[in-house]
Amino acid sequence: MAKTGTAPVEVDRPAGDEVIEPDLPWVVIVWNDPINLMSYVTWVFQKLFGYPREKAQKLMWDVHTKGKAVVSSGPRDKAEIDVKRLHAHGLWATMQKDR
Amino acid sequence: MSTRPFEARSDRFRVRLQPAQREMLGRVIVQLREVLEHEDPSSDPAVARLFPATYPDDPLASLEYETAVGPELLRERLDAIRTMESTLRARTLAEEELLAWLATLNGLRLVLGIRLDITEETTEDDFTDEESRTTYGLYAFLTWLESSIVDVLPVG
Repeated sequence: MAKTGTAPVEVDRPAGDEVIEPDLPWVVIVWNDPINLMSYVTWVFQKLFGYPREKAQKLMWDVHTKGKAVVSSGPRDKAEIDVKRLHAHGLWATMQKDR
Repeated sequence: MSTRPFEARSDRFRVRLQPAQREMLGRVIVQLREVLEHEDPSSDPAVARLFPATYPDDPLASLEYETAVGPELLRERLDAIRTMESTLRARTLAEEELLAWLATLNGLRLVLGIRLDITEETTEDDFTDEESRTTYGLYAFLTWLESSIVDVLPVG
């Protein structure tokens, strides 16, 4: 991570991919990994999203058995915050436009 | 005698660990800090696991995001390590301190898990040489600690 500060920051993105369909929500996906504990993943979903235990457990189980689960959705900036908090807790999270 | 290393005590948390266990944790979290300070996602798969790509289909967007957020996530991890170091010998911890322990122990488990190539099917018997057996023993010890912390921490 020591090198992240030297990565180019002034990168022009091609205009567009989020303006074409401005109303399309973003989804945050958590992927299965063999290391994180089931109880920990459930705890993170409760802690970060305020989900009741049953919902957090179901999401954890979906991640474990189906390989991934959508854990939250919304505008891009909100999804980025969710991904960041999941990464801070060591979960393997990505985001993409809902399709 | 209680076999749980962490226990909720009104608004604090009791830590039941032997001095030797605490010393060992102190040594391995120094190693975690060295990995975080000297490696990056491109040089070390364990660091890549701690800082995953946010947009898997869009490397440019992932790089932008990582540039913006990566330093903050790194600082949070280093802060948590510092908090754990300064409370390593404490008999009780405040919730915030226990959260720092959890973040650090979870980060360590992820790094060791990647190093050991842990899968859903991994068992102790997969490790035959002395060094990997020792590392797996540490991994299992961290698993025991982490699950005990999750059991006692509130979600609210």
